[in-house]
Amino acid sequence: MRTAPAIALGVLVALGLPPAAVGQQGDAAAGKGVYERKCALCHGDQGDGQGPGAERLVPRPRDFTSGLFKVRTSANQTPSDRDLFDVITNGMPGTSMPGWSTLPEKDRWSLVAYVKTFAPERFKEPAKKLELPKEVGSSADSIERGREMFEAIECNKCHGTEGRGDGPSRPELKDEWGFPIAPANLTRRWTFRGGKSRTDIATRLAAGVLGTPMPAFLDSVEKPEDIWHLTNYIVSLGPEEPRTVSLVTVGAVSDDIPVDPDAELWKTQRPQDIVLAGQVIIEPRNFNLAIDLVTLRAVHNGRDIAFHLTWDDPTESKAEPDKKVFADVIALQFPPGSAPGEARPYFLMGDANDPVYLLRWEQGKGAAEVTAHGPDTLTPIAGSEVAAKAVYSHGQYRLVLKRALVAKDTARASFAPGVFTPVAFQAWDGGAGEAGAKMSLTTWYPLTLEEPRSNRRFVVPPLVAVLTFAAMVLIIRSANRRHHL
Amino acid sequence: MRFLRSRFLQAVIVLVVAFCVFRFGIRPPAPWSVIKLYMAVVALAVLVHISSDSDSWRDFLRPIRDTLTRPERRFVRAVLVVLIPVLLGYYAYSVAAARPEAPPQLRAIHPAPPPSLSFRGKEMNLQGLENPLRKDQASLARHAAAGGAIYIQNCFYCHGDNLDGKGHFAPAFNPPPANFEDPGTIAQLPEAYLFWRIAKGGPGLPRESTPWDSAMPAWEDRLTEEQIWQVIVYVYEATGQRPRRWQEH
Repeated sequence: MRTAPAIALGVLVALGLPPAAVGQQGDAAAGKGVYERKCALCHGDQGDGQGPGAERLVPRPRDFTSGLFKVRTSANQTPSDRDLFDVITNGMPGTSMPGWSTLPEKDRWSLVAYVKTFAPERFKEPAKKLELPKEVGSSADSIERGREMFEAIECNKCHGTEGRGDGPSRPELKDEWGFPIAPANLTRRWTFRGGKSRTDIATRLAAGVLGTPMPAFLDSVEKPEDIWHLTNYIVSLGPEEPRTVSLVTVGAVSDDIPVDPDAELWKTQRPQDIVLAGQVIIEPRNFNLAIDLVTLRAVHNGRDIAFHLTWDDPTESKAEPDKKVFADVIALQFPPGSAPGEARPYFLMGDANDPVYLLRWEQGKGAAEVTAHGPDTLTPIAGSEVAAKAVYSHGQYRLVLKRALVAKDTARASFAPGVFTPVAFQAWDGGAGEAGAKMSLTTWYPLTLEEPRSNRRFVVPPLVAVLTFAAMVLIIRSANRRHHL
Repeated sequence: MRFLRSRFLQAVIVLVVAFCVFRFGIRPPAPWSVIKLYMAVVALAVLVHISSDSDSWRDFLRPIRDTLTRPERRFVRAVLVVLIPVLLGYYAYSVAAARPEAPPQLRAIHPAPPPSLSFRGKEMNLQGLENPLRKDQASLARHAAAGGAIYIQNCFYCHGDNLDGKGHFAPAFNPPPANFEDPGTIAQLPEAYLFWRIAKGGPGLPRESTPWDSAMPAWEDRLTEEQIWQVIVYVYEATGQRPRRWQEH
């Protein structure tokens, strides 16, 4: 059979080749070469975290000469070789350290050996394996016990009551080198530096994060297994991954749309996570953005359209020009008019010739409709008809912006089912000094309005089934007639 | 093993095996549209093969006709008459209830460069333009190091430490940042093309490349001519790619 080798090949490819046996003893001399090519631009030739890229990064690149490593599975301060290898391989989520799984495994072990030479004193004492308490699975009781522990051992002091990194100690936190450091937002597991699995989280809780204010808690909890209750509570705080979309969908509803962001309707709508990046095209550039994710829910009812926006911001700030504090702002951007052609305005708030239309909300001022000819040229549109209500609680804004589906004039955007309308997002954390061009933003997304759910999906399939049935009966009949002739 | 001689069963086995190979034997997984196309070709080949002579064709049709006519196959017949319409109805439902998908992006990724550009008031002819830093091979390592520093201070946010277009800003941008490791990008382009793209950025793209969508800054505002050539030396050196040469006339 000719297919036999093909199957054998398919099975082999599907199973993957057996992993090659790789020595875990890296070669520090070989590691030096890899380090200079791949690591030195941030971590510096001397391993002191002072490479040319360091100045613009928050968190800053690790200073290896200190021998302090954030992510370790050891009970003492020495990380195991495997810990270093895993960080090189997987990177540090939520920072600018990427995973280097593209490098051959041998090179990564060599890097481990070389990185250790920057702090030989630290590695004189071998790593002592941390024994985690016996694992406790997640349950409502365990999560509740974890929530109590969260307050009892004062996690909320830094991480905030609801875990969004907005605790009262936040402004004072400094790392080992005296740089300000932000407590983790526990509702975003995908940014946890040492990984998001339950074992990763329990290990960080038990062993702490060296070089940061995060202490080891294995001895401060009441019973060792509380580490797992805390883990289960933290896991319950947010999704495993952001729920990103490539198409923004506005759902169809038949009733009036509430402006209250905590109304029941919004809990039934699909969350669509929009990832934002820093604006680095024009001055002032924003390399370390504050708001990197906005969650959108949107509905229309044939007359009105409403956007429900949720984003985390550890401080609620209004404009106080004398204190150099700016207002928190969020904006949805659309091309003006109703017939989006092929060409669009420049995604960075338009330009002198092609303006954009903004639905813009500012803390302390409320919502407005604005025409923008670039980030520094905003003109409010007279007779704004956008209704808005915002709630701020425990490090999170929730906002509803609502207006008529069809606009009064062509300075505003109009919406209709069946067309893709471009939309872009912009956000400013005034408390972090963001204002004007210093913002976070996206490029254009397509946005579509769902048609009110038609009954077509209930009519067409039975029709298809009945017609197929009839055709089959006919075929059987004609086959039998011919057979009996 | 007499049943293996049945033409009908042979055809079914070939189709199932072919599907398994396409679905599980190709790494990375082939998209469904490609699998559908391959399966259509295989089905066509099987039909051509079994209908090549009338004996084989009759042999192939026999189990089908038997199922349609034989009294002792009444049960199988009844099951099929119910099952096939239900399956097709379900398929129709999944198509009718599908959510809308993002429209395809129609844009030229590597548009034709202009014949010349004006760099800070200096007219530069792009056709045949070479990287001037490559004349002095002795200083090339120094230029690559300087280019690396420029890259890490300005470019890696989007294009990534790995130069693979997966920087930590990348998920916010569509079109995504260029992946320099991909043999379809800088390896296909002369260095003068990169100079144009870096100097003029997104706003300098022609209309067919949707300049309003691109988040690439125009670096002529920030980098000098020499710095741009240095960062070009770096991206080729760091990826191991070679720039495309101008054709000799």
